[in-house]
This record gives sequence, C-alpha cells and structure tokens, in this order.
Amino acid sequence: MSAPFDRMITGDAALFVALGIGFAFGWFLERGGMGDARRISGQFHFTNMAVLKLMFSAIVTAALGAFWLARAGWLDLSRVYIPETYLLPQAAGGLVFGSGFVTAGLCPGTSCVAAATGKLDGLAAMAGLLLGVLLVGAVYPAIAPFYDSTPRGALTVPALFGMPHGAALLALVALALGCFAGAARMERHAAGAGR
Amino acid sequence: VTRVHAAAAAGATGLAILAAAAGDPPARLLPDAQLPAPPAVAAVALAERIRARDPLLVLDARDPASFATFSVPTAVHLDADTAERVRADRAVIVYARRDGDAAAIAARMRARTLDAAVLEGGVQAWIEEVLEPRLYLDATPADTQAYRRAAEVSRYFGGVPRAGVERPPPRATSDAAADDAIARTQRRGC
Repeated sequence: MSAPFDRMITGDAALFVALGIGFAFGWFLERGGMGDARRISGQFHFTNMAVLKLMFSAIVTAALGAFWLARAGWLDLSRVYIPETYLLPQAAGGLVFGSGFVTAGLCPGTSCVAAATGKLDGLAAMAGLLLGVLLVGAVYPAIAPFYDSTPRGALTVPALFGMPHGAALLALVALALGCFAGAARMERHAAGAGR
Repeated sequence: VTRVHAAAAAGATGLAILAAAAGDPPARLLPDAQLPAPPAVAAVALAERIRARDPLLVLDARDPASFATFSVPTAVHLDADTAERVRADRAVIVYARRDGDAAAIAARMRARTLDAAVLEGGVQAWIEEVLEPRLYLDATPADTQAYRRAAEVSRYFGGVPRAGVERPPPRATSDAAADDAIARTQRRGC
C-alpha cells in the first residue's frame, strides 16, 4: 500500500526537500525567462504572453498532479493548505501588488530569480519587497480590522460551484487551452504591428 | 505551436477527461482513528491561562443552543462546517459534548499544524472544577493544595468554592450530568 508524502518525508528531511523544491522553482522560473523584467512587462502590453503561458501551465500541471496523486493515494488533500479568501483586503492587496509588478516588471519570486542572476533591478525589487514587509508590519495594528474583513473561508472551485473535482479540472484545462490559443494570436498580432 | 506543445495539450486534455470520469479523490487518506491523540488541558489550568490573558482561542463545538445557554468564558462557537477552516496563530482549546468529539476535531487541527488541545471533561469539568471547587472533609494535603489553586481562580470567574463538605458519590460523566451542572449555574443568582 502506498503512503502519503507527508508521512514518508518528515522532520529535517522535509526542510531539505523544501529547499530542493525552492531551488527547482527558481531554476525553472529563470529558464522560463521570468528573471527578465522587460519580458515580464511585455505581459502588461500584450506583446509577450510568456507569464500567462508559464503560470497557466504550472496551474494545470499542479491541478492535474494533485488530483491524480490523491486518486493514487499518494497525497492527502485534506492536508493541503488552502489560503482563506478575504475579499476586500485581497482586492486591495492585488492592486498594490499589481502596481509594483507593472512598475518593477518583477514580482517577489521573479525578483529573487533576477537578483540571483546578478540583475540590479532584481536587487532593487527585493529591497522594496523587504521594506514593504517592514512597513506592513509596522502599521498592522492600525489596519488589522480591514485585514480580517470580508472573510469567505477556504474556497475551492468544486465547492463553490458544487461540481465534481474532475469536471472543474476539465473546465480549467479547456480555459487554459483557450487562453494559450488567444495568447498566441495576440503575440502574432503584436509582432505584425511591430514590423 | 510545436509538437511538444501539441503533445502537452493533448496529454492534459486526456488526463482531465479521465479525471472527470474517475470521480472525486478521497477527501482524507488518514482516518481520524490513526491521528495521534491531542493533548488534554485541565479546566483549572485553562482558567488560569484565560485569566492571565494568554493568547488562546477557545472553541465550543457543542450545538448552538447549548453554547447560547452556557459556555466557557471567551469561547466562540464552532460548527462542523468551519472546523476544517479554523486558522489561528495561538493555542486552540476545543471542547464538545463529549471529549472524544473534541479530540477528533483537535487531532484534525493538529494534522494541519495548529497547536490544538482538548478541555478535559468539557463544560462539566469547567463547572465542577472551576465554578464549584470543593474541599472534602477527607482531603489529603495534595487535595488541599489543588483546592487553593482552584479557589483562587474560581472567584475570578464568579465561582463559589466551598471547603469542609462531605464527599459525594463518584461523579457521573454523562450528558445528563453535564446538563445538571449547567442548570445549577443558571439557578445561581448574581
């Protein structure tokens, strides 16, 4: 009989596995071109859709992987942490995050990747990230009521729409393939306009 | 679109179609019975922690009517649907109609890395040990010491400690005994 991953890998070994996964995550982000601010900011101008394609590929891979690992008895879905939804604070956070993303051309993960490859804009974005963390920590008592407002619990698409996991997966894959086709068309259009 | 892209798209579509046909994966692999038992907290120890304003989240997993009638101070009601979603950056103490129910909830919370424990004896223990501590005539020195500790915290919560009373027959731990204990607190005036 198979055993869940979290029972096979425990204690310090889990930390090393996490470190390995972190390195692999950074490596693949870099190889996917996500350490290049110009390439990322192309997403916001619809001239380079690499971010959408990479992120959606990762989502589809993770969703299919989680489903089939759970079906095979290798992953305990009840022990996978699902972040809770807080509508208004997360909408506000998304706006702040998006503003920083489009300004720097980097998000927290890609700024680390850019910094690791010696890019100064990556280091600057990381400094901004740490300053932002400090700032939010300093003003947290004042914003705590807003921070905890409009809670909706840990939402999942199957639970929200009352549909089976597999049907939600099929819809997700169809949406991803549609977006990939649309992204390819946009890139061709942008390349044609640029000539 | 390269051949690799087309193959990946076909593979993902195939796996998704199979997933739709395969049915939902099991929600939980590890049965509750196999989860390690959560630690238990005695009522007096919990009372001391509440009085000391320790960062605590006390959860009452009984039915809403029982919660409305009587609950441990600072406790918030927990319904079965939200038990899996509780998130806390402080210690969690759970009590329910039966300790076994509270232990199952706390064990699942501990599986999600929450620092959860069970209030041993639930509401009945809270009433008998915190609100109504008794020092019996045949008390040992250890009993006396425990009584003094309970009496100190009891007064803080509006309890009525009594010394020098006859020892009653061994206490029952049933739903009826818990209801009796709650009814006693309701009859008590201000």
